[in-house]
Amino acid sequence: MTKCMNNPFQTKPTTIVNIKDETQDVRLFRLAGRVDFEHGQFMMVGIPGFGEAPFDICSDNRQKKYFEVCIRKVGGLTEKIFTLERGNKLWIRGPYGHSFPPLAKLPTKNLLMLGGGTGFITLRSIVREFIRDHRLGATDVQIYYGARDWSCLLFKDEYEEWRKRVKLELVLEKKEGDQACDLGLITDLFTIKPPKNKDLTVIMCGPPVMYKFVLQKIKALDVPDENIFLSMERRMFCGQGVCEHCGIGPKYVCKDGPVFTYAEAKLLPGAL
Amino acid sequence: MFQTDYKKIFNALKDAGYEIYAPVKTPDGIYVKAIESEKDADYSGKFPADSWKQLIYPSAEVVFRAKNDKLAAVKTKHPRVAFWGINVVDLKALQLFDLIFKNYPFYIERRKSIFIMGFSAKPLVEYQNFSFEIHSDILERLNYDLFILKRGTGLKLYSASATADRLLKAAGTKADVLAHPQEPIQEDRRVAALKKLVESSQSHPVWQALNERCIACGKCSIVCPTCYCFDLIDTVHTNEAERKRVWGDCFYSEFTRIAGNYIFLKNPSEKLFFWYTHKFSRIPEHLKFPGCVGCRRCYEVCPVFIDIEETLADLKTDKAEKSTR
Repeated sequence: MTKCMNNPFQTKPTTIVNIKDETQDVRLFRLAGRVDFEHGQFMMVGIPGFGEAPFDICSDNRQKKYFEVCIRKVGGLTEKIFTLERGNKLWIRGPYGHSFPPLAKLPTKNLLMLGGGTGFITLRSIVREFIRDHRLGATDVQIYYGARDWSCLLFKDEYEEWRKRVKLELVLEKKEGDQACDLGLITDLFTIKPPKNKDLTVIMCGPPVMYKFVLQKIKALDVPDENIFLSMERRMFCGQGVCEHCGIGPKYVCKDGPVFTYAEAKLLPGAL
Repeated sequence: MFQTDYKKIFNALKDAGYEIYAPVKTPDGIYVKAIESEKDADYSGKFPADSWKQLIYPSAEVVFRAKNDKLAAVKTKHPRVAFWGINVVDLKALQLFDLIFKNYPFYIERRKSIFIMGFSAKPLVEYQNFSFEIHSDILERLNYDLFILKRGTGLKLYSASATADRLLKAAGTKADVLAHPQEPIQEDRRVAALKKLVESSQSHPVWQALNERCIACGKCSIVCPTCYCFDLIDTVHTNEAERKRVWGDCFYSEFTRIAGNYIFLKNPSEKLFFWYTHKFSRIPEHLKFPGCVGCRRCYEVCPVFIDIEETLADLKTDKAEKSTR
């Protein structure tokens, strides 16, 4: 008899304590319970009968009562998740994966973070730690966030609080009126709002096409490959380096990643 | 004389309630099938066209059920199954499953009910192949219950489990026991060389040439004795949901499709490269074990005759001549 006790695919129900609409098709789900995670790690979240998928945890990583995942309605599972209400259950297992470096141990004092589209979700937990932990005060943080238009921007009501601690630069492909942002692609920010200091650590999360062009810009600033951290996305079922869907060269995105340094990622055939 | 021994062991397995599977000669080739008599089995030592994996790792199985926000235990009674006459190369492939799924209860529970009888009609070093090294101590390092080695006109029996000992006692015969080797297994130089070769080959013209041939049918991974990719698929019933582990196939686009309809492996060339890197890079990297056992089933089943050994040989050259023919 297979006991659920030691089943590595075991998933457990947890209560949705809050749901917040971030955009028309993105919702922030606050789930009850403590998850000890590091920035960039992910949870498998789902509903038995409808599947599960990996979602980056985007809440403060010292929060003990709840954790948050931000979900875009994009397929069968997420459509079902969007029918849930506060008090309903989501099923979780994790956290999984290799994280970004601890913020106290970044290689340089200047941090540039880049988020493209829903990739930006992953960076929220990092911002929250910078706001909470004053010991990290010596680190200068600049964020580039690129999205399609104003309606796609996530966590808008938090920017005021964030801006007391980090420099947040927004760039949109479509800009209307006096929206407080620049017009263009995320790569344009390197010209419009260039990093003051070239002694940089870079943390980024976005679609594969973003990496391709952003990396050219970052390399032009002579940032060492080891100081560039990026999170990769692949299809995943197990989260444990077994099911094979996320394999790249000798590595698994779920287990050896999702965070890789550029020094590691550039050696993985077909990764970027 | 040894036919008597086969019969005795076979009957002892039958009496112990095992369903016995063996390579069986059919008009279409040799296949792994259930047999009723030891005489039904093929003892040539040739590879069956299909692999043994479906017996140890079925194409689908339930990993859990959930009912009313609670997990329900999955009660599965696994029948006793005996492998009758699996060769050393296929045993090597099974050992990979034992390694990968050692912490997965759905595998462990089924595995406990399986009795493995290896067989070889020829000296084991004669199974030498392109993908891994076979040393004289291979029998000491494989996972089986009983191994029968045909030697001249006699049989040499090796027991490796208490179940085998009990069975042999019931059959009125005895076996030798091989000491478990003390020294750690040496790095397989063939596996290491192939790892290096495949990992550095992404821009090799061989892959582009194969792109023109491969139709991404996925038959190779179905027959491959070391392919174990899986999906987790959910189904929902009236008041119960279940999640199943189902064989995956990296030749199908669904394999890497993510939300937003982005597909990471876009063409046959990228899929083949992924398949090769799994076998020759990821498995050796993570498990220190060969990911290909060199059985050539993939070539036998391939509708466009892609020969794995030839592909690897072509990767060592600068040209893609052979693969384009």
